[in-house]
Amino acid sequence: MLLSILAAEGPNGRFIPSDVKEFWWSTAAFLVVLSLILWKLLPVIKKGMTDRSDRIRAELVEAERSRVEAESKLSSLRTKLSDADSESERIISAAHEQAAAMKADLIARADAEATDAESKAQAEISTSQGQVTADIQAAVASQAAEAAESVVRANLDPTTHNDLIDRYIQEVSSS
Amino acid sequence: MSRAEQYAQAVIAIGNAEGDAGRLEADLHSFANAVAGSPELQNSLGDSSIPASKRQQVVEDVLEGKASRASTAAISMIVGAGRSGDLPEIARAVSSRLAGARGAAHAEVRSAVALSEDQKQRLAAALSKQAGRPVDVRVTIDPAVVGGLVTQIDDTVIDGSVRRRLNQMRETLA
Repeated sequence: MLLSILAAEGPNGRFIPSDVKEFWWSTAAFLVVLSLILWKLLPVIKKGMTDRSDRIRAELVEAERSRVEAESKLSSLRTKLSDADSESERIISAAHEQAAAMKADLIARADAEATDAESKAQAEISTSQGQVTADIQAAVASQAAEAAESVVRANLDPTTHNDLIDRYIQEVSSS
Repeated sequence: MSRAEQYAQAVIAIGNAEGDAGRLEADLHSFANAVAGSPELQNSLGDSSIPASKRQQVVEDVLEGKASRASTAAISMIVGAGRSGDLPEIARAVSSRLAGARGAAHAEVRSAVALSEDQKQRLAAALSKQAGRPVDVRVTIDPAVVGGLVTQIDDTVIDGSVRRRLNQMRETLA
């Protein structure tokens, strides 16, 4: 309608060319070019758009699949982490129990050894004291006997010897 | 029969064969006393690493001119057999057997000092009275006795020595 109005107005040197034929030929050429464009280029554009939409959709699907897979892995990791925490707690607890048992055992053994060593030491001290006493007593007895023998030998003159022999003979004779 | 008695029997057989068992007995006692009083002799005669011929040569050197040939041969036999340590026991066994053959007993008497003849006779009389038969007394000087006497007749020991009293005192003190 705008074109009809412009055509009815006649050439004005600005929007409507002076030659009407030229206007119609230009319009026809424009339409031909437009038709060509719509006929050849539009399917290509539409196909490109469709391909792009498909690709984006596929990418979205892939992204969704990746997200689900990632969430699954995350869940699995969380579960494993939870299991690992439980296992580590169990191991630590067992280690604590074992350490406590070992500590108690070592303390008991050390106590027993200390008691045994103390008993042995006491026994050795008693034995040593007894032995020392016996040794001293034996040494004193030996010294006293040797001293007595020295005194006796020094006082045994021939008369005493004869007296001892005569007394012996008399005792044998009278027994 | 002990080993000492077996040797004594052999020694008496040698003495009887030579017709002077009494001399052999006396020589045996003298040699046994000499060995008992000499640690050097004890070591050389008792050392089994020294050949028997060397030990017998020592015996012959010691007894040369002091003992009869029969005594030297008998003692040399004992030492050569490695029985020098048994000499006192063998000598006692010889005396005991010879005395027994005469119907008497043999008494080994140890004293720190020598006995007078009177003391020997009185001791023999006292021992005979106790044994109920004649007793031959042989006195050995042993300083270890200290004083008094120790008599052994067969297996019986009559100890009246000062040594015994000293030992009793030592045991009491210990």
